[in-house]
Amino acid sequence: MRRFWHLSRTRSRTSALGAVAVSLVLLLWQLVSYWHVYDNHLLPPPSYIVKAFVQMAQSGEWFVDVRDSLIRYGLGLLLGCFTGVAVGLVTGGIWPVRAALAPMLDFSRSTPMIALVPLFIVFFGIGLEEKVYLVAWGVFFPVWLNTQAGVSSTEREYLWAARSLGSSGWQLYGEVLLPRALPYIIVGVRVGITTGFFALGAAEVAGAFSGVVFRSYYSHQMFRTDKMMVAILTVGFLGFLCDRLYAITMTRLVPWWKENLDDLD
Amino acid sequence: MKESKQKAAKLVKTLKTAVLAVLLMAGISALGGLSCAPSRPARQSITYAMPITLTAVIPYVASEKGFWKEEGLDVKVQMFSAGRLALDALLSKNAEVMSVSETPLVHAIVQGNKIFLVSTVASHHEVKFLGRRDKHIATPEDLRGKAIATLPGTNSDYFMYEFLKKHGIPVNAVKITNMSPPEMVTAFANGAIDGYFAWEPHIYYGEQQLPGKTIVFGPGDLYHGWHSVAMNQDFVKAHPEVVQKLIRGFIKAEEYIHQNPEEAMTIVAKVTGVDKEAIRKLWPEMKPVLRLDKDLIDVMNQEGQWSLSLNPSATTTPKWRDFIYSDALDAVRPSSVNLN
Repeated sequence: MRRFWHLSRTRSRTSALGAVAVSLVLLLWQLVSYWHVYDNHLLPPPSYIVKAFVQMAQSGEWFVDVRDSLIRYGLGLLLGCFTGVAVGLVTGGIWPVRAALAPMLDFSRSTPMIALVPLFIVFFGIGLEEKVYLVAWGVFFPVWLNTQAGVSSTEREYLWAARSLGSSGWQLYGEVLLPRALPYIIVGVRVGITTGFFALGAAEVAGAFSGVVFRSYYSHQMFRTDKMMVAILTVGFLGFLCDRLYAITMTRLVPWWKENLDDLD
Repeated sequence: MKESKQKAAKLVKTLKTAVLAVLLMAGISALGGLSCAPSRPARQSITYAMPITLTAVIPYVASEKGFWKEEGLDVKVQMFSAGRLALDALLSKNAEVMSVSETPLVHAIVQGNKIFLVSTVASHHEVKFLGRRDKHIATPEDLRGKAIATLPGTNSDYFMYEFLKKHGIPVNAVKITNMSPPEMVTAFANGAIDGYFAWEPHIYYGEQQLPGKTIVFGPGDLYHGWHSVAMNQDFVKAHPEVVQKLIRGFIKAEEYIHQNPEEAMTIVAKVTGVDKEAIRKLWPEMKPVLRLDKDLIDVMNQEGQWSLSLNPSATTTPKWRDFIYSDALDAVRPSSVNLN
């Protein structure tokens, strides 16, 4: 109980300090614009951005953009996590597969996602699939790497013990390797949640006419930097929200993970 | 308990230090900006933000042949993949001059940016539509229901709206998608889109991908563009002599191009990376000539109406003439100015 109160007080203080810092930055930003350090057309002050947000919300444009981006992102995140875990379990557990795939995957993961857009257009066209696959691509690598690391770091003693108790094949995966890799997978997915948003940026720059990243790009083209800033802040907010939701969900779903609560916070 | 209190105190201290550091950095940056804000002392060295486009032939030649240097002006050329980014460099005062087709300048002026167009350096008809015949595009009316790509905010985007309007096709009757011209060529070749509105050499590249299977709708009387040279108003007012030197360099380049078109094409090929054969084919569509014509104001006015319709928040139509600085060109070659 005492630990709970201590944690909640610490978290309240942390949240309060975070809120103060954000408020100060916003105030400073407004002042910078008031002093005309930068032209308001290039860096609109927070007050302009709020006005643009209200305008976009009233016209429904903001909601359509958020909805379309979240559909692309959500499907890509699911696909990227699923394939990342599946491939990671295989490459972590079966070394010849790892040896065969590692060079290709290591080569691919350092390729900037924006550079892949023309190739994805060739393979998947410009519809929803192309955007979902691009997001999945961005999510896949951290999930795969972490899953593989989790599986390959399983202590041999655990495997020996499981085998001596009659486990083999899929049972080994289900009873030893997957639970052992779970902490790594949780971290990998958390990283993937962020890299998925990077990929969404690449996905919406071409072949889209809605979405928050598209709106940022489009507004820049049309010199509506206030709307551009709304879009940029929306992406940041969505990323923050997804990360928080994930952290909270994990602390509920995986009780033994509670000891790492501070790390996830 | 004592230990946890100490930890909490340490955390608070760390956060306070971090917040102070952020504020300090922001303050230093702001002060840096303040100290840079006043106009700089007179200088003969400027940065030119140049986009990669065939219509910038006069600036390319002026730079390559050292015509500005002859005028006592050091011009550092900074290349940009898109005119819109080059314009950002100008507006953020990282460059003193830039050039681009008039459309992004119109948007910038509509949104209240204080710039001057000091000259145009080419008129062109390079904006077109390219469609696939195998997707049953033979006439403009066939665009209904088709997947068409455009790059928002550009002159080809403006042409698209005008083209659809002229042929009585509502914008929502076409599946419009956003794309950069090189991606349009890829998507066009693999059938992801049925056609696209863009400028050269991207139309040429699209035709090369599907020889004999494409159809081009040119701009006709609907649109012709002006590659325009823009500068910040405060810089022009503070340094009119720099603008004149710049214009003199342009005039030398214009004369050079008329006398040596082959060499000019070689320079454009070298700077843009576009195949010289393609440049030769597209050359007649560009007129590299220095002028300030009333037609520019008419084009800006039409595009301004379009820009205002896309951005309803900007309600006033600018007086376009106020954004054209003709004094320098008028002083150097008065015959090139015809704004009335």
